[in-house]
Amino acid sequence: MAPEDESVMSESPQEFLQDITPGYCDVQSFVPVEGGYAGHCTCGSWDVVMPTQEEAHALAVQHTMAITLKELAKRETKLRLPSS
Amino acid sequence: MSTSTMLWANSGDSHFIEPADLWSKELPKSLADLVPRSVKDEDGLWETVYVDGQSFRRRLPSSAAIEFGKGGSKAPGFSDFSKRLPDQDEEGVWAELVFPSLGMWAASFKTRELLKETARVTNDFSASEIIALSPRLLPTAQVSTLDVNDAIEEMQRCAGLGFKSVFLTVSPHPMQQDWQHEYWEPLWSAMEEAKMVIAFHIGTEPIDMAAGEVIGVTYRGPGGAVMNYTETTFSGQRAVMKMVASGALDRHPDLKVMVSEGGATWAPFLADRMEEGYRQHHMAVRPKLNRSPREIIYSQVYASFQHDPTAVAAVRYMGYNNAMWGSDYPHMEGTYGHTQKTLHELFDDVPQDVSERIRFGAFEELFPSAPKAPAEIRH
Repeated sequence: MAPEDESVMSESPQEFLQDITPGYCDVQSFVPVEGGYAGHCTCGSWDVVMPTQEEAHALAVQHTMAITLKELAKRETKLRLPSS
Repeated sequence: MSTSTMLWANSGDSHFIEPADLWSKELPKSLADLVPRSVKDEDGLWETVYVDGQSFRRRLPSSAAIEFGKGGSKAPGFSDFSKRLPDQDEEGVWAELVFPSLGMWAASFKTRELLKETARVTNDFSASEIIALSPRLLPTAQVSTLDVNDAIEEMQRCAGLGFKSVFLTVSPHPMQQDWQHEYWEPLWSAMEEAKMVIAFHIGTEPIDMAAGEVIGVTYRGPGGAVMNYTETTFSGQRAVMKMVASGALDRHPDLKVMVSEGGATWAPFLADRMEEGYRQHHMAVRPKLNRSPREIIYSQVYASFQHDPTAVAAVRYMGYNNAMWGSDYPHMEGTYGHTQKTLHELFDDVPQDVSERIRFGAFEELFPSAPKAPAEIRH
């Protein structure tokens, strides 16, 4: 992971969440529950309970891998485009 | 721009940002470990925020959204307080009610002690850095909205430090009852006694980040940006509706409410709607009020706007005298960089008494201890 960033402190939680729409994989939450951490995605189709926050986080990374790969491919394409 | 052509005004809505490490530096380690911190994934596409034992991973905003967000921090005096008054002198803003930024996160804390202590640290910072800088700057105090006794204790401490108002989110902490409930009655009594103004700011609905799929009202697609912005304004109106209908303001006639950034024309409209409900549904109305909803709103509720021409009309034609102007410095919705253009468009063709009431009078009535603008800039 990259070093800690301060940007979140200048945003309100509302701003942090302003791009969220239920049904889309915009945010995954990890909340302590009995037996570990409950992971939930705003797409509504991903819920897990794992012993640690890190394990739930790792599963979220897997859950959103398709989006990540698609975004990385977009970035790659942009980099290859000749500058005008 | 020379002062002879400048229009000056007080601002009922401004902001500052505390140092990002304020809480982590000032709190004991056991609490500092719980305050929000952000860690980005190596791919730069995702970010995880850790706050009070919970965490939230989000897809980072698009580059357009990031650019939009940066627009709000271009004003030098947002975080560098030595540049605050020069900014305001350049813009034509005399005194201002100033809201902190980090406290917006408090509603996502679950730990009572964390809520209490972050408020204390923020208030000590505001007192030493802002109140001490100039009497023209009136920062709002922060209090916990999870526990009424904690709120009262900190509010009273802040009154002693020189604060004149308390920032309250438009709804209290998600784990607490809403403002219309009797639970909060001791706070209203204590604030009335301490002469502290309730300062609601729109768009501050506490978000229970652990609630999973239910997170606020968000639109996508055609009109989404305007609809999302407009939605934020309704929360301030709802807060006032609750304070009036529950009798809280009726029981405390010296308790004043400020609603910042949400426009002002809604106040006469809300008074109309509440009058009709109170009269036509009288058989079901509890509690009965000693004064009508309109009388309460018109005498105890103040509202700030930035650009709305109808807010001026609310004073001029609707008898609602508690509209006041606000810059929303330095946010994107505010007037930083075009304050003079805004003030001239709003007030050049308005009678002097109405113009002065909105630019100075309502603010001075709400905050009588604030220094009055010199006569030569009140025109």
